Order: sequence, then structure tokens, then C-alpha cells
Amino acid sequence: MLQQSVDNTGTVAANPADDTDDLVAPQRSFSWRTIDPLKFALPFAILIAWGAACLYRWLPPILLPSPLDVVDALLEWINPSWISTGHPSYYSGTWVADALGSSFRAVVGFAVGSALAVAIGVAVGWSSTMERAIDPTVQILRPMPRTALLPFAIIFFGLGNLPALFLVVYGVFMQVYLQVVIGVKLVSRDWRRAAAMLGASDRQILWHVVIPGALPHIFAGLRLGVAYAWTMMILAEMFAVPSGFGYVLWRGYEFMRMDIVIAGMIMLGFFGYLSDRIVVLIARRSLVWAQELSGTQL
Amino acid sequence: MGSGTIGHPAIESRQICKTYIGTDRRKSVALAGIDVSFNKGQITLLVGPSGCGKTTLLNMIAGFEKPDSGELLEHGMPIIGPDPRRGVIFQDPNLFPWLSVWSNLMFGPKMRGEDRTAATERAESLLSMVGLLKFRDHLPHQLSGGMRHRIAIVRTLANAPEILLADEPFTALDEHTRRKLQHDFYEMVSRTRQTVIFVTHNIEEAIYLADRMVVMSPSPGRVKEIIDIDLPRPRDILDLRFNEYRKLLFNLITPDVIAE
Ligand SMILES: Nc1ncnc2c1ncn2[C@@H]1O[C@H](COP(=O)(O)OP(=O)(O)OP(=O)(O)O)[C@@H](O)[C@H]1O
Ligand SMILES: [Mg+2]
Repeated sequence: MLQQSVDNTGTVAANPADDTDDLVAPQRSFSWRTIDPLKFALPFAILIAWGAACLYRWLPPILLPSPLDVVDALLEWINPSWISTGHPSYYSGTWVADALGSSFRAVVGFAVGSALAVAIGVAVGWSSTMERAIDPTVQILRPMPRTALLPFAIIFFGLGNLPALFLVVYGVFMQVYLQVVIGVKLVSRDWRRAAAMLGASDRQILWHVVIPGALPHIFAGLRLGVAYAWTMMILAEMFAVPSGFGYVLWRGYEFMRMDIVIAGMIMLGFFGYLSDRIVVLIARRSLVWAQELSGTQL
Repeated sequence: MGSGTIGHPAIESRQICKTYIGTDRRKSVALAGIDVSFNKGQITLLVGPSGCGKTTLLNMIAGFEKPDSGELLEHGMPIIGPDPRRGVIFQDPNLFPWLSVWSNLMFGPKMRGEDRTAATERAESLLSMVGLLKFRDHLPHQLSGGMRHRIAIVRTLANAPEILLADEPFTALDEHTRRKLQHDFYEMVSRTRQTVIFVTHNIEEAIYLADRMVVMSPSPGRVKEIIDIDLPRPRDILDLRFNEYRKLLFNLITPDVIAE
């Protein structure tokens, strides 16, 4: 650090731009030394226990296939020509279509549901008229488990993408809405007063103070929402969509194929984790100030 | 900053009353008939023991709260809400933490749609007066507490208010920083003959800054006395006459504190 702040004339340069860079962007460049071995200890232990359980036949293979069986199922799912068993299964080679279909339903449903939740949540948190008009209805619907809407969705929309999208949009909305309302309501009165005395109109206060100030809560809501999108999507696919990860999982149950069931679960975990990371990454970049205020990283 | 003669009232408070109903349903009379006017181009200090209604009165002048009864006028017009003509410096710096120092300073001019070059010039000259020009691209949390206070003062002044309201802006600071900021503050407001209403607990700070002093007393909040501070500038806190004012104010305020 000291080395860097001495410029070529040999004098110590007080260059504010330098410390801005240090402070504003928590740089996290990759290097092998940044990998924390402790993170991998538990997954590794589980994998070893699993392998041992299969090796010593603690459980029948129908209940617990070996890790290698699961890898085989996964490979066959992705591309059957990689391992030639000869007799194709219902999932042989359908992975790309399943992944695209599931991602489409989850992502589009999440985007629509969270956009609605942010728009309506901001309106309800900001205006008492909107709160009186909308909030009681949401509060009555909210305690009802969102999964209970499945039969309704199938009867109403039939089979296919529509009931799945409906369920995801509804589930995500309910999850994100409350956080947005809370975030908007908790924006400091002093910030609003500061903006008002500087000459901001009500609308400008909403756009330039309330929404940025509520962003930490909004992102917390989005993060819960993205997990919920996958949950609702899987539920819908199990019963209402003839393709996708949920479909593969449910057929796996019907055929008692634990290997593809576990392969499907791993895929879902992976995709869920990936979408959560994307939200966290966006949050990290847009909430530098809030992270610095709390002294922690998201 | 506005036109008009010095000494003309910028703010008039006529029989302002305000009663709060606390959580225990007990009424507390924060202000019981405040009759006072604040003159244009003068620095008026509002002093008095804790709870005498200084913040309440200032918040009403800012337009953040409404009186129960009475009339509050700015240049003869009733005050109905916050307005950029009346700039406020809060006890906490209250900067927008998601905006850089510079964006904080330009917030007001941008919202009001003011001409960019004029606002930029004003903000830059104020920023260099407090010696923080090189921190313009920092975020507020990257500054020290004292720096944040200075930026907050500059933010309000950069918006060119006609009347400046300040509620104990330096109370949370250490003594040396406070002295420095009092000095900076006076430099900034005196060069434009800014109208200022300034609340403080600190008698020394009050005598240092004031052209005129409004002494309030608590339960219920009233104006007890109005004193003109007739000392040459720059003021020396060790000066004999400074000390006489100190004694005078001490004798005025102490009985009210003990009565509490
Ligand atoms: N929001 C409120 N609810 C109830 N009572 C209040 C409220 N705000 C102020 N009060 C009461 O009004 C009185 C005046 O309060 P105010 O904050 O104006 O005093 P102050 O002179 O600014 O005191 P300090 O010097 O301690 O800041 C106090 O007795 C206080 O308890
Ligand atoms: Mg106060």
C-alpha cells in the first residue's frame, strides 16, 4: 500500500482517486489462495459417507444408488451417446430441453412476479390510499399456502406453461411484495425531509430517495423470491407440465428411479444456487453504500 | 441572499402553539404562544434548556410540522410546507449514502432544474472553502464524521436558500472540530449575509455566532428574552466582553434547568 502511494518523484502522493477505487469496489479477484478449504469439508464428507454406504451395502441400491450411478444418469440425461446402455429411458437426451423449459418458466415468472411486487409494493408503501385499496386483500391471501393454488391453476389454465407461470408469478409476488412495502415504509424520515427542503417534489422524493433507500429491503425480497420461483416452478412441472426438471423428477418417482431423482435434485440445486448468485452479485454492485454502512458484505 | 433591507423580518411567528400527546396520552405543551420575528441578513441563535421547544419551532419554520394555532410567515406569506428557500442543516449530516459527495451537493439544483453551471460554480467554491474539493467523488461513509458535517452544510448552502435553519449541527462533534466548523460556518454565511436561524445548547457557540439571541424557557415553551450580541468580529472567546455575555446567559438559563 505504502509503495503504491509514493509516486515517481519520490513524494508521497495523496491521490484521493486511489483510495476511492480501494473502497468503492470490494475487488475479489480469483486466486487459488482465496479458496477456503473449510467450505468444501462438509460436502466432501457427505460424498464419502454416501460412497461408503453404497460400497458396504448399508442400504439397498433402490433406495440409495451410488454416486457413480447418479453420474451415469446425469450423463445419459444430458447426452445418451456419452454412455451407451443400449436401452434409452424417458429422460435420455432431454436435458437441454428440460433446462431451457424450466429456466424459462422460473425466470419469466420471477421477472413478472417481482416487477409486479416492486411496482405495487412501492405504491402501497408510499401512498396510504393505495395501501387501503390493495394491502388488505394481499394480507388475506398471504397466509394461504401458495402451493394450495395448484389445483385451481390446472383447472383454470389446463396443462402447459400457463399454470406454471401463473403459480410462479403468484408465489414470487407474495414473497417479494411484503419486503418492498416494509423497505419503502422504513426509509428514514430525515432523508425525505432533507430532499424536501432541497426542493424535491413528492414524485422526485419517491424516485430519488425512497426507492434507492428501500433497495436493501427490495433485494432481500428478490433473493427470497428467486428461491420461491424455483419451488413453484417444480411443483407446477410435477403435475401440470410434460417436460422440465420437475417432470423428470416426478417420472423418476413413478419408475422408482432414485438415480435420476437424485440427478434432478442436483440440477435443481445447481440452478437455484446459480440464480441466487446472480441476484447477490447485482445486489453487491448496487448496494455498495449499504454494505459499507453495515461493515459487512452480502 | 434575497433583496430587501437588513433588519426586515424574514420569518415571523405569531402566537404559535403546539401540544404533543405522548405515548402515555399525557399532553406536553411544547410551545405556548411564541411571538418572535427573525430578521433578514442576521444570524439569530435560538437557545434554551433541553425540552423548551427549539427543535419544534425550527421544524415548523422548515415546514416539516404544522402549528396547532398561530401564524407562521415567511416574508409575509404563510408557511405551508418545506421549501428550498428555507434550507435546513440537521443534527445528523443526513447525507444520501448512495450518492457521492458531489451528487449530494448537486441533488437540490438537479431536483429544482437549476442551471448547471451556476450550481457547479457555487458548489465548487463552497467545497474548496471547507477544503474538501478532492473528496468530491467519495461516498459519504468514506469520510470522517466532521467531514460529513461540513459536506452537509455545503449541500444546504449549495442549494442557495434565502433562509438557513440549523438544529444543533455541531453538537455531536469534538471541541476542536466544532470550533473549526463554527469558524467555517460563519465565513460561509457572512460573505453572502445569509439569514440564519441556528439552534444550540452551547452558550459559547451561541455568543460566537449570534447577531441576536432568542432565549427560550421550558414547560411550557416560551420566549424568555431577546438579546442583541454587540461584539466585534471575529469574536474571541477569551475576550472580557464575551465573558460578560456568557455570565448573562448563564444566569438566564440556569434557573430553568434547575427548575426542571
Ligand atoms: N414527537 C413528539 N411527541 C411527543 N412529544 C414531543 C415530540 N416532539 C417533542 N415533544 C415534546 O415537546 C417538547 C419540546 O421538544 P423539542 O424537541 O422541541 O425540545 P428542544 O428544545 O429541541 O430540546 P433539545 O435541546 O433537547 O433538543 C419536549 O417536552 C418534548 O418532550
Ligand atoms: Mg432539539
